[in-house]
Amino acid sequence: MSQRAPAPGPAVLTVSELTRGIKRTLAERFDDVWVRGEISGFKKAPSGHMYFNLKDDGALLSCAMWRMANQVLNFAPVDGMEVEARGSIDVYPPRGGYQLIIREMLPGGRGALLLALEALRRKLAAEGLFEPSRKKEIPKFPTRIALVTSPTGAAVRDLLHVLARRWPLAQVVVVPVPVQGPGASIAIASAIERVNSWGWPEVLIVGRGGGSLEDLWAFNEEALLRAVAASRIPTVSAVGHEVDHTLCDDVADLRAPTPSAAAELVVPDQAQIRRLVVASRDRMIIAAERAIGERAAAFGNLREAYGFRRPQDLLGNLTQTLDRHRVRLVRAALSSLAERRARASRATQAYGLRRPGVWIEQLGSRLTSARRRIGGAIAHTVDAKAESWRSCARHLGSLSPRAVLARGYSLVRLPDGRLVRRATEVAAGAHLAIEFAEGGADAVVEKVREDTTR
Amino acid sequence: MAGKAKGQKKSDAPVPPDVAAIPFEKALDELEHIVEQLEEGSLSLEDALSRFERGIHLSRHLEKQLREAEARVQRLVGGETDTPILAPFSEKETEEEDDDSGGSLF
Repeated sequence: MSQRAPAPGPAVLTVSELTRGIKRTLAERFDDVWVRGEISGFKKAPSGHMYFNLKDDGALLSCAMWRMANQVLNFAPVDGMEVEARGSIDVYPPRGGYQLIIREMLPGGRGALLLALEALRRKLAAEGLFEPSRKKEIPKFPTRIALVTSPTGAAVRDLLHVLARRWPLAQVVVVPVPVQGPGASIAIASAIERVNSWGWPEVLIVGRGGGSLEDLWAFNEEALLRAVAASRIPTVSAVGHEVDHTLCDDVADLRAPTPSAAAELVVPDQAQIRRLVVASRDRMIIAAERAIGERAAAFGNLREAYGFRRPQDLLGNLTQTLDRHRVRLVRAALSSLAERRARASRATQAYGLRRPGVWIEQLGSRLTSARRRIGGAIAHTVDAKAESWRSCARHLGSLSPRAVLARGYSLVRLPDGRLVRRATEVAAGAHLAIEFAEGGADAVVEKVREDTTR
Repeated sequence: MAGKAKGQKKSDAPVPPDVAAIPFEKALDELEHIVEQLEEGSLSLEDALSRFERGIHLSRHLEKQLREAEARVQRLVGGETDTPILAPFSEKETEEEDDDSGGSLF
């Protein structure tokens, strides 16, 4: 067979030649590119080189990042992470594939946001901005409330509804701000500062309705957080729904899971307070009735007691008793003296022959001092008894109806002498005799009042 | 002096001016204190009656404030930092669900 001469037409390349051409073209065209994608199939070889794919919905790109490049990364790449990578396209001829050789890589998308957030959180925590001791108390019955939020939407509507229903005593001012988008955190920070320098509100609520992490992001940004921390007015954070959490919640004086919950936390419920007031009034009435009733009963008892009927009699009785006791004491003292005298004289007779003079003298002095002591004791006892009887009489005297009248009570009698105790015992036009501590008055009833406490 | 209220006897009896000036929270605290004192029962009759009267005035004052309160909502629209200008804020304004751009205050 003769060798066929190359036919005229397109040149026929070898595989290597073609591949070299592809490599050159791609290297020129994609010498320095940035690409964004999600990491998958991540592997780190023992050599320290990283191999992974970057992908999105439409394509997959094989990547390599050599050790020298990847050791300066400040984050750990993992599957699922969104990143932005810079590098150049290279073709690896033995396998016929192409690869992105990555020189630099940054976390991008959600991952980057969360990393930055964590760094910020640590920084602010180190400054003590989350300390519970920094948190100010919210006033229990505020009358002036500022809302820093969007003037439209469900959040402000809910806030206003709940505030009006629970505590209409509070005056509310809405401070309108953007709650997402670029510049929102700065705008909210300014608003909070401005409200503080105005100084009118007693409490400030800052927040917004629900949304995605990106929507709520302003409430994770440093400017806003520092303004909330610096607020002298107690500040409540009401961002998103129950499950949403932003750093604003941690730096505020109080966190509310939702805007409606914020309104419930900040003001009391007027229905509950009204019930409390009514209950207090009822308790007061009962206590006052009891106080008056007890004293009236005690007074009544005293009045009925024997002593008040005929106080003079009682005193007379006491005086008689006192006299009897005095007589008995004296008699006892005297008889004791007589007895001692008799014993003494017997003793004298027995011992008189020995040393009568001295002995008699001793006895005599003993007798004298005994007589003196007994006399003193009698006198003392009698005085003490007399004093205690006197103080009883005085006490009784203070309990006498006269003394009670002197404290402000009056005795009111019907024409037949009976005392009046209740308004129902008289009618308009009835004649009454009023007795004061000193003197009295005759009166005619103008109007009967059923009670005096309403 | 039975505690029977015929329906709701709205006592429009006047509240003395010195009591009317007491802020809500203080008045409520004082009322609760008076109730405790009366229930303890160690006051003289005269003191008990005068405390009771004060308590009644306080409770009327509190109820009056609750009854007459009207929710007031305004909107901050401008003015200098220390002397802001306020305008009425109606609920209708909350309806417009625009792009949360809020006001151009700052």
